Amino acid sequence: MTSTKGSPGLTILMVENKEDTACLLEFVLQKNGYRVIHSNNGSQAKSLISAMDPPDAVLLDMTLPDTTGLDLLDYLRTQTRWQTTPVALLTTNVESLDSVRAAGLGVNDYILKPVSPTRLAMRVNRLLADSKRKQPRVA
Amino acid sequence: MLALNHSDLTLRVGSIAVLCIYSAVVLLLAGILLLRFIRLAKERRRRNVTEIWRPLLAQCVVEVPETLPALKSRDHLVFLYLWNHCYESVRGDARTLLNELARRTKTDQFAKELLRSGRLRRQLLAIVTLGHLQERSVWNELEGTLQADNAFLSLVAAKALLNIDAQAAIPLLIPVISRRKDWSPLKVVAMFEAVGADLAAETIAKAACLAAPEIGARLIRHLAATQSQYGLPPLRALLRENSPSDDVLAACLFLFGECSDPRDMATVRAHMSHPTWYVRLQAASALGKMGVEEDEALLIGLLDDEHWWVRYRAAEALSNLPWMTADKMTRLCGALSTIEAHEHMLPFMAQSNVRKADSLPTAPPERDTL
Repeated sequence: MTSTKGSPGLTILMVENKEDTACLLEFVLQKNGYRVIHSNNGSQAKSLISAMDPPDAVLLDMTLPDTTGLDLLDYLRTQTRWQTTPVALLTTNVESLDSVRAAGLGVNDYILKPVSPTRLAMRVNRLLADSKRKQPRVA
Repeated sequence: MLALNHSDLTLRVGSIAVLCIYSAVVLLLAGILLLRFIRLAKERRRRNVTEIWRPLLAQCVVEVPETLPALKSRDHLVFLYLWNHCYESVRGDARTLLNELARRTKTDQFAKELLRSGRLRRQLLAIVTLGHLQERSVWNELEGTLQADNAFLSLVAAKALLNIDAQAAIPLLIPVISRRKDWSPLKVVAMFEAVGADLAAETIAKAACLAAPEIGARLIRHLAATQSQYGLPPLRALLRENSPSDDVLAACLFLFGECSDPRDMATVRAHMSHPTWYVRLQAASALGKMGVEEDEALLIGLLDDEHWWVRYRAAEALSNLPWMTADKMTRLCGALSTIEAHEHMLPFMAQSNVRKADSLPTAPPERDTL
């Protein structure tokens, strides 16, 4: 595997309902130095979003049992502190996405499933690097 | 107490019947408990295997550990489900690593045994696994499974053959696709996704040319989903060299409209006056997608067609032409000589006026599938 080490200690909130996929993504992210908080449904994710400080990035599955990724993202963006948190959507088919709504909600990246572990790490590193570059301008 | 030895026969028979009922109830309860126990034990075993192997499989997409836990044969089935799920969740090098894991755990051997088990669910799992493992040694068995009565089983076998060796599988699959009425064209298109849209389009088009009209027409309609032009040359040759059925002809015109290749313009125009109404309908729809300004007259001519749907599609096609503005449509409508033509244009003209009023970008009206 190509070296794609992320910054150690950075936290990622991952909302993914399929246990096998979640376990796999979690392993790849942890292997790259990230701390992963996993939620497997929309309501649990909403509770987490209300209670916790924003993580460094969010990975959001498009299809969840009790809500959709975009609805959850909509909720997430209503939380003042989460408005600039970088978000990547995990999806099997980018063409079926409501891309206009996604763009309006500030999606930063799309990660296509099935995932390549190397590419996943690279995309998350880039997502975080891009958001870091933008931060001073936001401030 | 039961009176088994009582001198009264009725009482004795009654007692025996009560005893039998009691015994049956006890046996039934014992059976239920046993089944429940077996189910719980299976569930516990499945959980245990999952707890051990799920994190290991996640690890294996990055590197396969040197030592692996022993995998008992009774746990192998659960492992296969986990392995396949993991395999389909990743791509690239991670799949090679998962194949290495499968060989080290002798999963290929186990899958071959399942393939010969004769139980449908196990056979399906085995075929999927052997396809992922690109196991050439089962090629002949999979080829035989293409003829299976069960459509799902044969489709899974076709996909496995494509995974093992797409180039060798395609010549085998073309006649099968053209023959099997029970294969959904959507599934066929999806099956070929892994080998690339162009190869998929070409293969399906060739199969459609060989197929009976009802199968061929369905396959051709679904070719549009591949979004590849590679399916067009075999169909052009079919139209040039043979006289296909009206169903196939209509499907070809539908596809020509979807692909909008200028080389097919002459064919589309030539069928605007075909004796079969649904061929004319598809020609009109196609012309609405790919036509140039001089085709406007052809479409206006079809507004007086004897068939309602052809008139409707011709009106829709006219409204879809990229240079057709609301004002131009109003002028066109005013110049129409028949009531039928005028009536068909009115809803599209109204839509066009609404779009103009709202200053919305011009989107074509919603089409149904006819």
